[in-house]
Amino acid sequence: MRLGMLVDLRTCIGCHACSVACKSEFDVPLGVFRDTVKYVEEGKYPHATRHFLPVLCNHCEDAPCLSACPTGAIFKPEGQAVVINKSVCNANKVCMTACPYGAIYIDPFEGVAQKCTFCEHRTAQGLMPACVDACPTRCRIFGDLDDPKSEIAQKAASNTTTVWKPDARTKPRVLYIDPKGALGLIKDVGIQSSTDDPAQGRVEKS
Amino acid sequence: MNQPLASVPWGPWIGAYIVLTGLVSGLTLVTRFLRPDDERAATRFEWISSWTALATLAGCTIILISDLGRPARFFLMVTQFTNAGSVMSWGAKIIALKIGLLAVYLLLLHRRRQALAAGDAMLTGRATRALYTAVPGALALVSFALAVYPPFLLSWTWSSPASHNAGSALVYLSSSALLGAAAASLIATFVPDVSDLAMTARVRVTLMRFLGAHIVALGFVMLSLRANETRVVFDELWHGASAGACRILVAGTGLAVLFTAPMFAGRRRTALAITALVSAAASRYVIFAAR
Repeated sequence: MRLGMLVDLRTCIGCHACSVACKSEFDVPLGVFRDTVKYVEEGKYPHATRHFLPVLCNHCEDAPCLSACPTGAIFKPEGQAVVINKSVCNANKVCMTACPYGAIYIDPFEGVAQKCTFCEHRTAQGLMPACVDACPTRCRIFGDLDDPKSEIAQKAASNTTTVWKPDARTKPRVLYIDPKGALGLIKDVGIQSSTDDPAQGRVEKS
Repeated sequence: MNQPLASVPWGPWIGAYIVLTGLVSGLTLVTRFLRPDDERAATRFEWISSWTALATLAGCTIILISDLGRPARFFLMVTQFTNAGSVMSWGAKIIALKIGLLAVYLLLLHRRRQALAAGDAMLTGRATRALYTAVPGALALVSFALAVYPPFLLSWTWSSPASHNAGSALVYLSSSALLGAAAASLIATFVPDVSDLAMTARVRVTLMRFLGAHIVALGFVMLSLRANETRVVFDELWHGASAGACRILVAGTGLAVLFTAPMFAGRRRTALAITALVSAAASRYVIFAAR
């Protein structure tokens, strides 16, 4: 078994229903996210385009956060989600500096690292993750990537898929159908305040 | 998403910790090779140097505990062995091991000082001699591990991209040696009865050599960065998240030089040691903070 998620960027409308469902499910504090939608703009008027990019923990096969954690608080049961054991986390933030996706945050109330768990408490009961259930366009598909009969495996097989930041060599289990190459437009330098990037004419917001 | 560069997880305190680990490892290593020939002076020099190293390590521990929130969290990092692949886990254990070894060595030095005061200059017994050789030897090994630990740790992170090349690893090593030599020079200058003429000359030559090596290592870093990367790194330092700390560092260094220069007129050795301390500390901090 290899749990994963496939995000079809052709159908994402940037409604943030997934972000809101996730916030609600885990009571995620203000200012931090387990799951959100980035907006990336490309081109200039009259040929400007906006792409919507749902991003979350990639539950990497070679998770750098897991390797970096000094207390063993981050672990990955075989084939399942990468999760954090709060009782052993000492908030040293090394996982945050190791994760190339900015997927981990320190919960300001509990003082421990937190991230997406693929809603393991829901999936254990046969439910879908909250973000998948909330998506009005069904752009997210969750399931077993190794099961050829699963919807996610079939859709991945019948489409060209890619991952976010393949150069990081983390083997993400969140796959994207991204025919316009929008993932590559997400800049590493955070949110740009200007609506005009003279270098590329691209703007990222979240 | 939690924007990587909008909220950098490690701030100036961890930068200070990276600087102090260099000082503490360099001081122990350099002390071992700069011992005065006179046994009494050598023991006193090691005694002062070891206490300085222990106090600095205590400072490192306080910084880490402050960053983590409570002592139990640091203790957890020292006692957990579940993830042998974690560089940070090794770092915490190296610090704990060094504190333990320094405590043992200080006890040995205390006994040695008592013996010397009683007129007993020779170490008698094979076990005693082995102990007085093994403990400083182990300290040197642990100190070397601590000296090379920061580049290993920072190579994992996206928050210190300037650490991701061989040149910066060299700078961490050279700056550690330089910090140690500068601290040893200050101890030799200001603490009475720890230095003789031969040692004074040795310290000066060592300091100059380490300073030269450090400048060469910094040159390697500059060469290893592409032209646009260098600009990005320095723009970010001056205008980015760590701009406040960097400006205070630069302004503070300038003011310190301005006001303390007259004090060092005729004291070139002290001036050289302080210059070496500041430049080595600044280069470690800059490589940590530049992004």
